[in-house]
Amino acid sequence: MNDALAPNGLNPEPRTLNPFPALNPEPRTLTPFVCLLLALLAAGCRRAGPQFRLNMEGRPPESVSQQQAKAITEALTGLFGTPDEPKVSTGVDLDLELLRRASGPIAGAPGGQERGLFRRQCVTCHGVSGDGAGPTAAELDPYPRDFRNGVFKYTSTRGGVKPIMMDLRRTLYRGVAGTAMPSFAQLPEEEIDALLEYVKYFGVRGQTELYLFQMVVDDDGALPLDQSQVMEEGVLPAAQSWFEPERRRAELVAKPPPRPPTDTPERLATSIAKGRELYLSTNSQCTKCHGPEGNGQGEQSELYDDWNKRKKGETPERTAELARFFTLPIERLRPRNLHEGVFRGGGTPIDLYRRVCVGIKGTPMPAAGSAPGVPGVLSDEEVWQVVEYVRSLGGSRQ
Amino acid sequence: MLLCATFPLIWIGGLVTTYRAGMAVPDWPNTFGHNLFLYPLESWLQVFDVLLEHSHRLIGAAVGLIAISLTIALWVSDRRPAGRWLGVAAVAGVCLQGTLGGLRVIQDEILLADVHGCTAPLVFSLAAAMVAYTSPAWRSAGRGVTKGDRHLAALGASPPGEKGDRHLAALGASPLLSVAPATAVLIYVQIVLGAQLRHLTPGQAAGWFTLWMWLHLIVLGLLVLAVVWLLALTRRRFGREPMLVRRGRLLAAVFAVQVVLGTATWVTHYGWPAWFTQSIWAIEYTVVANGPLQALTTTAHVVVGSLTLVSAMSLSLWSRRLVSATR
Repeated sequence: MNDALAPNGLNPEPRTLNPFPALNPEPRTLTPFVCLLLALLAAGCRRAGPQFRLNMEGRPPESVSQQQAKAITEALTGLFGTPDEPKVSTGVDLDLELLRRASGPIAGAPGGQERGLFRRQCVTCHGVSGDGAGPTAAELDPYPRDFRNGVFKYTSTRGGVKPIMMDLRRTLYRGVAGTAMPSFAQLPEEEIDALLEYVKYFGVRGQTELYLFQMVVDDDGALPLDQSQVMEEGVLPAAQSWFEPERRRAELVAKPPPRPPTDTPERLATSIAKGRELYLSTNSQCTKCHGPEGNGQGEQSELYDDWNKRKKGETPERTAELARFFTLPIERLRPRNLHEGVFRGGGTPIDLYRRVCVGIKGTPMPAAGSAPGVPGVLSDEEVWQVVEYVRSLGGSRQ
Repeated sequence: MLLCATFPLIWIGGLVTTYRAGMAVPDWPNTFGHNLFLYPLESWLQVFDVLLEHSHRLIGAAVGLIAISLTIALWVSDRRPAGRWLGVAAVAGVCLQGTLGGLRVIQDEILLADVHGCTAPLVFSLAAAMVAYTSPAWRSAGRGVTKGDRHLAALGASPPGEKGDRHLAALGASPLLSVAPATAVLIYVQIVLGAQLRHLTPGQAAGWFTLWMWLHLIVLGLLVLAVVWLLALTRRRFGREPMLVRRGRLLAAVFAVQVVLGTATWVTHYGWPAWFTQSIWAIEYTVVANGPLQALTTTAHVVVGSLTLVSAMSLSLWSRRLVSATR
């Protein structure tokens, strides 16, 4: 008997963008007048709330049996709850009150919005599961962030560690220029706190899910699952990884040193000239992607971030085959044209320092800066010189 | 008066959806347990979402009362059956809208919000039709005398009923009589498609938004052709009939504004498209969620959509009225 994942029940959402009902379980095919009739008839009937989708990105549906999918889903529900009712396990440092405010359907109260902040502000792009595949995602370039693996582009942390909350808060406040990610500076502080906590929740849940897939599917682990093992090896390490950079700030968070003085035209010109030298040097490898002129026309013309790299096959035919296993089509990454003066992670000198120093996680943009006791490609002063050169190209207004 | 009261209702209803404040007041027909009309003012003004939703309900109630009063007045004073039943239809339309809005809240159902948003322009158009129907000009047209005729007579060009009848007779054979209503229908289809782009459910697959977006653009293309054609037709062939010329121009003007607002709506929600910033002009723009620009352009796009529908409908009604007057 074929017990591979069937089209219904515990299956993930369909991979293609085909909206037609035969290939898509979503029922939004009705004309307004038929909707009107059904709506009136359906008064008194309630639909079940939305559910988290299993993270089947890159996995052929037939590679996960129904039993395995059910075990993973039940484990995650037991540990983290549902989109309407989140849960926090013992030992996981997440604020359940904030999670409740962010989660669930939009619900008002005399004093303001009680619940559903994520669905109000974020879900149309980031999706109910935080997978970056919300209803509008396919039309956006770049795609909305998939929160589930806890990787974020514009951070101040070194290596592969999680961002500090200030990095995410900065992104929420400022938005990401040149993309669909808005600035949420209009929101009250407590709502920003709730949304940030929910993003962290997605990260912890998402990493636990990856652990469960590894254990249950890749390693063909025995079922039923050992709950204490899942906690010890999956949940707690995932949760603790979010606090690692806060605990080890000195070594893991890049703190830009004071910017060298450029208060005279001569000093500025010297700094820019040195920065240009460093930019063009083979050591720094900037020109590989950004090009010698800084116009984004480097020799490496076909680039992908980590979320899209997996969708690329060795041949176009293989890429087309792989498309079946992903929700959104492959999307290329374009190295920044530095002359445009539009920097998604922020265009202030400190923002640019961070980008050069710690790189952009999940993308080919490497970390060129030094860490305490670990020399990098560029020293602190050299990073600033590159920053001055880059700013001179774009006529940065910040 | 009904039309004037319905217009702000559509504005506030649009703002409710724009700010996703549809569930700001989770009960209906009461407001947090209070009677709709007795909810304390200070509580109502305290929270922006509640202000929007509660105002929407109050204006809706006012529109209902106006519709009822108007219908009574029509039954008393207007002997034309069509006018009376238009009033009944208006009351039914407002009641339906109120019921849909209430059910949307009770069921917490975005689909019902979608339907509520799709039927609102129809009720608004009904109110506009009533304005036309009850106007003195409509009655005059019924007696075979139009402003065009009076204008010609004033100029001494020809007596009314001769040249006037000939150019209006031309109207009878004109594709205007079919294209104008078809354009109105197409505009309504466009409004419905736009509603699908606004009322997204959380778990909706990405392909639906793509479908609605492309359909919205395709229909836009068809509408550009239709509106330009109608403008040219009303000016060139019916230039002596100011009723039609003005409506043709109004439709074109409102439609042009709507296209600009549509572009602005996309940009204020999703930023400039990548193909534009990468190939044409790199604009440094950051979307501001819940910002005034985003809220106003989006809501204006919704409202002007209804105005565009009314403009097309008005052109359709008047072209048919003038034809029937010549028969």
